[in-house]
Amino acid sequence: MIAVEVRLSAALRERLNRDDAGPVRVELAPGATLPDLYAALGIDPAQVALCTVNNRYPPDGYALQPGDRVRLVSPVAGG
Amino acid sequence: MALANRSYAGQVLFVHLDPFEARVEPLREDVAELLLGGRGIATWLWYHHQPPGADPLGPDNRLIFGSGPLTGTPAPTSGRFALVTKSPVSGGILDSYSGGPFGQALKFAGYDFVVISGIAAQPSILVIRDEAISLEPAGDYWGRSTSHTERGLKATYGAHAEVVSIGPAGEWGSWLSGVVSRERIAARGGSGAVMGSKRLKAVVAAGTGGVQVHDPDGFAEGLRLALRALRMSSPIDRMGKHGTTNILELIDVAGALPTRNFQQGQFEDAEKLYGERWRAEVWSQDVACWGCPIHCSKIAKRDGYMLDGPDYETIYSLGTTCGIGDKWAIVEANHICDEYGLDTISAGNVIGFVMELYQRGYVTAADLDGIVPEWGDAAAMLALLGKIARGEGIGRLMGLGAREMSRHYPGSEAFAMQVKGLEMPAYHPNAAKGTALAYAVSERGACHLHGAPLVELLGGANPLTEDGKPEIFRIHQSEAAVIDSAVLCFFTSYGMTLKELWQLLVPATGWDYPEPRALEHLGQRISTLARLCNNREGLTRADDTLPKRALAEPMADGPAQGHVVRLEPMIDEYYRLMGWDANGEPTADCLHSYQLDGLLNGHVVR
Repeated sequence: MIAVEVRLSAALRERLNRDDAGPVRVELAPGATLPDLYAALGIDPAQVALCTVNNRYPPDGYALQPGDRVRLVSPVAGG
Repeated sequence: MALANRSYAGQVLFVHLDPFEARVEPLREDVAELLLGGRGIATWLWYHHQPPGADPLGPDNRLIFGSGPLTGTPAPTSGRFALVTKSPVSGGILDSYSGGPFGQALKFAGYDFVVISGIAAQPSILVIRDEAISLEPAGDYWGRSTSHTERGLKATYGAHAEVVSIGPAGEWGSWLSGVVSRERIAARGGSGAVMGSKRLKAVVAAGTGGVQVHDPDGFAEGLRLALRALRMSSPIDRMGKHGTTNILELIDVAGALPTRNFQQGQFEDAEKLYGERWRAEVWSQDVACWGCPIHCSKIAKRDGYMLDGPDYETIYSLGTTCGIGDKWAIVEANHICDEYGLDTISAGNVIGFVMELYQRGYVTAADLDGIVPEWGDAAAMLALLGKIARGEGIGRLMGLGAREMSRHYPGSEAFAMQVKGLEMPAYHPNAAKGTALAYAVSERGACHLHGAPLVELLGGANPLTEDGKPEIFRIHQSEAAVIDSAVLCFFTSYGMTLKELWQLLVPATGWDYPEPRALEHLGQRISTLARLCNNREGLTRADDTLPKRALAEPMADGPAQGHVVRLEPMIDEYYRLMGWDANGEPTADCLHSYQLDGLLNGHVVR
């Protein structure tokens, strides 16, 4: 298994009824991708507007690596 | 009047300030159908009545206030007004908008628009009460704050009267000043300086009329559908709770949060400024503009004082771009801008620019009236803001904006973060390439409301590629032009599509817009008309550009690290999509397809 660190945006936590503001440790099978991570967290991919891994946009099909820091942000409005 | 049962007042009021004259003309039906209202019609009025090349601060510049066909109806967010004039900042056409039902009061008085020219002999207040139009001495209001002025004039003219006014910043002629109503501001592009140059402290409107929609049953159904669309939008629901600040987290994660004058795209203290932190620590109350179900505005309360809460743009400009994460300092700065009538975006951007001038040794404290503008120093930010607001010392130069200031410090234009003189809003162009295009080509200068910067950051496209961005921008630019011509709030677009807007506009006006996409065509017509205005004033493709920091300085941090903007191919494609030539001039075929050739020559060929 590999472990990654995930931070959910406030809007996403609200949608998922989660109150963990800090990073969440998630264990996944080696070679897991972002859709696998979403499934593990019970997140509908349509709820994710923006995702970064280690402060970069991951390429399509990116295989998560041990220790990756993932940020997930859901759609918001403002400006 | 032919337009009276189409949700228009059907009249345009023309006021010349000295010698004072007021006259009324009917609003042309073909103009109303093809340009809808608000931005569209005001741009046409400006094109027709403004002498080409007029000094923006001289008597010939027209200052136009107006409404749209939904103004005065229960349509959501319709409690607003539009303003069009020539900008002292860009030298081109300026359109600007604000919450506050001044447009409604003007319409109830019988006028869709008021077109103001001339310069008053003394500081004055224009009073519009149905057919009674007068110019009154401003007296002691001159020199006073916007809230004092509005309170006093409402006490004089009645609670149903609505007021637009300038603060001391507009009076002294700051190009960062706007026009204020109910603590909202038509902020961008120096409209406050235009009004100040006319010695016009305020305009009061009060009327006894109403608005008659064309198809009341159809309109009621359209209203139901529009409200349902807004109610079902979870982003709008969240904006109601947290205000516009709730996008700061997204922009920070995307590395598009302008920090230290756009030297970075991520701020180390950004989390202190996330929406939920404002909710927990600062906001005490939600408020809304008249008729708005979104209530994005917040009230901050401390020590018994209730202050208007800063929005996301202000938290960037008076916060992150100055390296400041102190929420209460930003609240205080926002209050100063409201009272003095300043655009928070431009004011904060200029202060960030001065902080970088200091960082790089272009200026010393001696050049800044003794103020030491270190990054993150909230006291220094407030001191510089006070100088701008009052027009004191260095504030006289800062108050003309980053571009004017950079002319005094050769080399600094590379990091004066403006386009056409207008300071950039809260999205780093290197981290959002469609936004970069929007900044470059928007008629009024660096603008986040003439397109839709958030689309590419919300999963709509890869923010770091230029590919496809001209088409995305063109579509959202058209939508924004329609919303601004209906004079609704841009935020409706987070819930309502053009379909919901069409379901309101057709029964309100009775215009034969056959399908929602017809509105997209109408929006492109308005954008093209605005382009013609700018071309006439001498703006060219050379003005559709970005500062060197965006074009040649690789992004320092975040997901966009190493990125610059490849602008010219996007501009080529955007012009082509709009039907303009390679120099950005609309072609004869383009004008004909939008029916602008006939409209501009006095008649429409059908």
